[in-house]
Amino acid sequence: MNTDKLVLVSNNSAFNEVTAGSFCDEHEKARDVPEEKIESWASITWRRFRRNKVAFGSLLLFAGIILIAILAPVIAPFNPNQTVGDFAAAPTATHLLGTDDVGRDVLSRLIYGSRVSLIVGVGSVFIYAAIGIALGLLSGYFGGMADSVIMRITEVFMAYPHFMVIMVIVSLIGPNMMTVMLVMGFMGWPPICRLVRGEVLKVKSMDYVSSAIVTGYSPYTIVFKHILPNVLSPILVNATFGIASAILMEASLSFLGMGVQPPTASWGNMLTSAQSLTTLSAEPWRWIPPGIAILIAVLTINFFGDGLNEAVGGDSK
Amino acid sequence: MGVYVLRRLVISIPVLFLISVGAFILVHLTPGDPADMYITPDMTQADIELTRISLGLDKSWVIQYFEWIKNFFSGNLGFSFTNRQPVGEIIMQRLNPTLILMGVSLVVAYLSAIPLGIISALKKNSVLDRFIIGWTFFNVSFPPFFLGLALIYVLAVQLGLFPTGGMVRLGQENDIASRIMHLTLPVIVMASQFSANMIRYVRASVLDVLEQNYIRTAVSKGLTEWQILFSHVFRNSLIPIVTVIGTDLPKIIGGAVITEQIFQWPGIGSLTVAAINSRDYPILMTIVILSAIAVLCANLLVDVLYAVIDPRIRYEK
Repeated sequence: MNTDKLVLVSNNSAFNEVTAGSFCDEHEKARDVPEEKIESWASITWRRFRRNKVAFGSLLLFAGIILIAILAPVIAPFNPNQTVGDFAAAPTATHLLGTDDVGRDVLSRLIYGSRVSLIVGVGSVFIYAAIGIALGLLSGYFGGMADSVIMRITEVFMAYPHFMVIMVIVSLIGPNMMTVMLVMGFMGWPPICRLVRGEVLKVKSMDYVSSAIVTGYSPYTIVFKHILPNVLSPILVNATFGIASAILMEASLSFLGMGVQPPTASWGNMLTSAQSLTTLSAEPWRWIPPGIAILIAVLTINFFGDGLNEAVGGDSK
Repeated sequence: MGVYVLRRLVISIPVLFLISVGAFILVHLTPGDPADMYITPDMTQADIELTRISLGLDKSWVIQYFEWIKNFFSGNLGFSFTNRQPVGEIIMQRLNPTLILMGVSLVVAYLSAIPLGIISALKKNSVLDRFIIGWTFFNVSFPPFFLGLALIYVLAVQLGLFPTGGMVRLGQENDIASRIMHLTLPVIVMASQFSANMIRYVRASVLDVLEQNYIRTAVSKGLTEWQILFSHVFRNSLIPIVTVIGTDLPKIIGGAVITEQIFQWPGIGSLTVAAINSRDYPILMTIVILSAIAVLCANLLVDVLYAVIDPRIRYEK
């Protein structure tokens, strides 16, 4: 059975839709593009994606967060790691979101915290997608011994309680931004590996793959030039949702004190102090803004992923 | 069927073996010698050696592993590093609160999610449907710790409706009303996570079933909407629901780390955090392995349930 925790993605007809989209969708084609031109996959996806207002708005919002992360040194009013005001002071005109328990500016920490979330979120998914795609292609295309070994390994990985094991390993090797990203990256590949394997198995029996084999192309060319591009859509959708969960997981680890360590600001560890009732009830400016920041980042990515899924013709769950 | 279950159990053994080896290696790669916990200042070098021998630390890793396995199956899970209580006893104490929290959360989540998913599918693309779908996005994107803290802040601190944490008030262990009040907020946090997945799966599954020919037949032979809903739609949309239950069940043991931590719930999740902080490896190892066993059992249970629910599914041999 399928133990993927990701329920938003189903990998059924993505391939058929994508190829069908460029040839059979006459109605849409006639309306939007000149007839003599065959539209590219990216252009079709983009055109469909733009129609979804929520997803498109989310993409813009998320782009804004990326911009904030890149421009952090320019837009942050203060050094995020220095005492620049009173201890735990309420918001004022100079400190728009107040200060924390050692007098650091909350707004500046919030701005710099976006960097941690994005680096860990994107970085870990990049690592596990690379491993998962490579092993999935290997497993699906070549089958045999490699396939059974890889599948057994994914079973073992997926039997461990994911969050708990990551928490244990990170705390054993020393929690910081790098280790969180690496551990999440090396532990997260099995679902995407299984997804890729399944897609490859579907595509492998297609005529164009058989003709490529008969023509005498090397397995390398067939796998990377003929198969990978055709299984890319579900991978992209899966990876997008993966970034959202990775950001949530980093925030959760940092919140528990087992992820990014202070003084480095992360949205998760900014909420750690709210575990004490005094901070929670008397200093809401210290924990509500980072909480909302995580919510917005994760929500926008999830909406974007949903729009992308729809645009590439995935299941509209 | 019996043979199938037996075969599945046999296949689980190598996976379980690898899981236990993984947990063993993980724990033994950590710095520090377990014997250090037992050493007192007045011990001589010979005494220390004796301690090591009595703990079995003088033997090779392979022998240590098999002794540990032997002990594991005879119910001897070792002793906690922090308070030297038997691990089995500690886990048993913590298991009950976790099972209560997770059991109630799952029931609440499913009882609300299944009707919502069905309504959402029946009224596809209506305002209500959009609202429910938007709601599920919110639920999967809301960081559990932020939701928990926000609930405590508003409902417990500001309005004083609920206690801020814990499982019972001291001296009122048998007061059912007080127990329910303590349970409410953590259940909301857990149930919101569980219900989002379920709503999406039920909706997709019902939409799928509604398109089937036997539904058209049922409509044309004049059955009422309710008859169709209960005797045709619901039964046939059960299969994906079982899949979701299968992914939720394993989380019962270790899934509430953050919620238990925030609400100071005395369960396995908060025990895990405490064990990580105090490097209590015997406890950690047992929790990881128990959770892995839960995953394997849940997978098996789901596969058996498939066949019970849907007679079309038959397992070879």
